[in-house]
Amino acid sequence: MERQQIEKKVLELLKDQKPDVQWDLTSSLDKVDSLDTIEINFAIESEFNVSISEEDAQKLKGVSCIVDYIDRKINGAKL
Amino acid sequence: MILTNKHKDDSERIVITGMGIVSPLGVGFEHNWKQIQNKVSGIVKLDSEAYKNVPSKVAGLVPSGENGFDINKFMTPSEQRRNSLFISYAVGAVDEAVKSAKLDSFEDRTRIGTCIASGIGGLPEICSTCKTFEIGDKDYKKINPFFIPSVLTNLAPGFTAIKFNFQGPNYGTSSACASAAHAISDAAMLIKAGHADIMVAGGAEAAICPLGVGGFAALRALSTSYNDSPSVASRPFDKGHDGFVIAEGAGVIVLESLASAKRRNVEIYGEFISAGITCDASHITAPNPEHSARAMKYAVEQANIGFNEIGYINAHATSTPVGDKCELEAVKSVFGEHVYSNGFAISATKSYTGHLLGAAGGIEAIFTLGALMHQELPPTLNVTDPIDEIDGINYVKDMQKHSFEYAISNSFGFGGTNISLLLKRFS
Repeated sequence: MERQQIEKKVLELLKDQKPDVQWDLTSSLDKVDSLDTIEINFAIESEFNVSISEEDAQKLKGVSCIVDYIDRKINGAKL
Repeated sequence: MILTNKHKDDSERIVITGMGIVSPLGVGFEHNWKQIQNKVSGIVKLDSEAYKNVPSKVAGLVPSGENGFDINKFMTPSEQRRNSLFISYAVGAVDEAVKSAKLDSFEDRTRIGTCIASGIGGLPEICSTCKTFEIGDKDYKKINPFFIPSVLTNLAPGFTAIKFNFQGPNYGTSSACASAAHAISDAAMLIKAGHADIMVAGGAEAAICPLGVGGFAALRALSTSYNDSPSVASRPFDKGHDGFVIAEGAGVIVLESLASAKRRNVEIYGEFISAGITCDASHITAPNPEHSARAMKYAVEQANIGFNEIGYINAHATSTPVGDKCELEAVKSVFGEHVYSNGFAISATKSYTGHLLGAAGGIEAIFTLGALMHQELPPTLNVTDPIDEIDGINYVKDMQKHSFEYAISNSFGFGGTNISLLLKRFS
């Protein structure tokens, strides 16, 4: 999957999960609470068919982080 | 000493200032009452393939469309994902109750509590999650993180409190088919004990899924003879009654002290007088008339009124042969000759809605209040050949005017639990 496509899907997913937040690639997950974060990770795992470990989940603090993480997981891209 | 209303001050009297209903008849009290006046049944056929192996194929489903339930009016997509259907029904009913009681303008939210019951909670969601979990090799990561909070019975009051900012006492009672009536009675007690000024109380249920229907069918509790004519399947007091019709929805009322209602200058729909609460302590499912009679008797005694002052009973009557007859035996033992007089009537609104299980006591308290307010009685549908036990008693064939001050709403549940709510026309 192309990185641009990942970015698009992640933003769509975040908008769907939390429509009241303005999302772009620079957004931070500080805008959502801990339960939202769990739900967002759950949605990412289902959408991209990846598994996010508890340790990795702690590091996913922003949209660009999430995109990098998925890119690396499915395309093997270096961070 | 038991005090009559004349001796009670306004802080001790509990009145009803709001009502909200989501039922198989549709959404909203006014619409539900119209459906009752027009003798429209809310029972439909369960025609999905998922029910092909279940012998009962009728149910009281909450309708969509005009006057039906539109979840998008009450819950955002994110809230819908995070909550079971019974919680959505609770929110729908509370929304109407809050508007009718004008609770938005009440400033001290710490004085508003919530007691909304459910008998079963999120059974369809438990089933679907279980299926995903099993298919996914029991990987916990396949479980929606909101699964547990979405199915807990107390998340109906819990989520409602978040949505409407009710910061007072918050829990749900659970006593099977008597759950909502216990919630209403608890709410009145909490106000009397000073824990809250206002309580939003009732019940919500949405347990119609193959496992839920199949489970009650396995108990031989459901109607099976009217699968092709759903509107006549729920027929309490008729010789053709053959089991209850499972249903869903929510019924919620707003209770508050008369002092609070007067301060707020809001409309009063009726008065909560008392409750009689007992247990059979004999059998899990089979009712015992001695103890349901005791519940009605306690309620009347606590009200300190005469037995002949009860003008109407909204029966529990689920349309099972054993239950309907048992309740009539109990009623006769308490009210004696009064049951044959013009001043008395008993009807079963489950003939319209089916059995909403843990929400039944909520919508039936509302129907009882409707009867008191309008001074007219909701009929029992589908009684073409009345059972011998109801001979000589007015079971209300057609909508009729009736002059009365006091009414009882009965709720009985598995586990032998019995509760009779005694309500009064407000004056």
